[in-house]
Amino acid sequence: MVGNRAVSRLVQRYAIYRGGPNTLNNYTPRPRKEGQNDDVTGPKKGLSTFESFAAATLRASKAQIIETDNLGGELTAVRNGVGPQDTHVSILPTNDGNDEKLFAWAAAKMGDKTDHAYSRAVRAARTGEQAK
Amino acid sequence: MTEAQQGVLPAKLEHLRPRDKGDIERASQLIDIGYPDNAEALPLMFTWLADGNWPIAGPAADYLSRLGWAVLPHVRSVLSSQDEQWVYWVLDLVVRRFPNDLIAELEPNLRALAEAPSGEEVDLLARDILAGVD
Repeated sequence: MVGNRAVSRLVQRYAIYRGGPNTLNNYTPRPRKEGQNDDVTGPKKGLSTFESFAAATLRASKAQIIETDNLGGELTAVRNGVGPQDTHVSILPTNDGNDEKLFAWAAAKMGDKTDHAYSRAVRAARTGEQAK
Repeated sequence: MTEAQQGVLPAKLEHLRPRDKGDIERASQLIDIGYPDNAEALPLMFTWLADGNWPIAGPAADYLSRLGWAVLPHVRSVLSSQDEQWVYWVLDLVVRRFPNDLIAELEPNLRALAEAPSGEEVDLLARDILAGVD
């Protein structure tokens, strides 16, 4: 930690957990909408996951297990939780300094019609499902 | 209620709107005002459940599920929306934790969801909740 800010670090060779169903829509970040929160803003931007199964299912009934090594070179898992209790990990496009790739990914979120290469890459990195 | 209306806050509370999905500090301050003083913020709090993995979803789920009858109209509003991921999370994080009498109030909504095939497993979740009170 530096002051109140977490030092982000890459997550490699770890399982991470995303609450919810095994669907492409659930593997796609939310785009910006007026008056609402999204996955393209703030220090935890990107697809939200957790390093800890307990954190992912603290309230959710189940979580998808994603092996970070399986994400491939197009996506990167970054642990950006603040402090030991906050195990938040963002899945982000690699080399995306201006967030263009993240915005394009989020723009592809269209319910059950969602189909984006990054969403498929997250699904391909899934190794299983765990219920609470 | 439209999506835009969901995000509206009265001016006196606007400074407590979370800046992003990780802004638990402002989210908690808005919650801590307490009901009914924060009643106008309830629709906004439901939008924090659009993705149950968001850091602000946790405190919102704990709070809204405890409010019970006061949030029923807002729950019904979400359950009738076309955003299946949002419906999934409100079912999983709020409705699932309701006492049986509140779930019984929502039975027509839950039955409709249970009978409609869903790519986001909303139908499975609705069935699961109904089975829990049968």
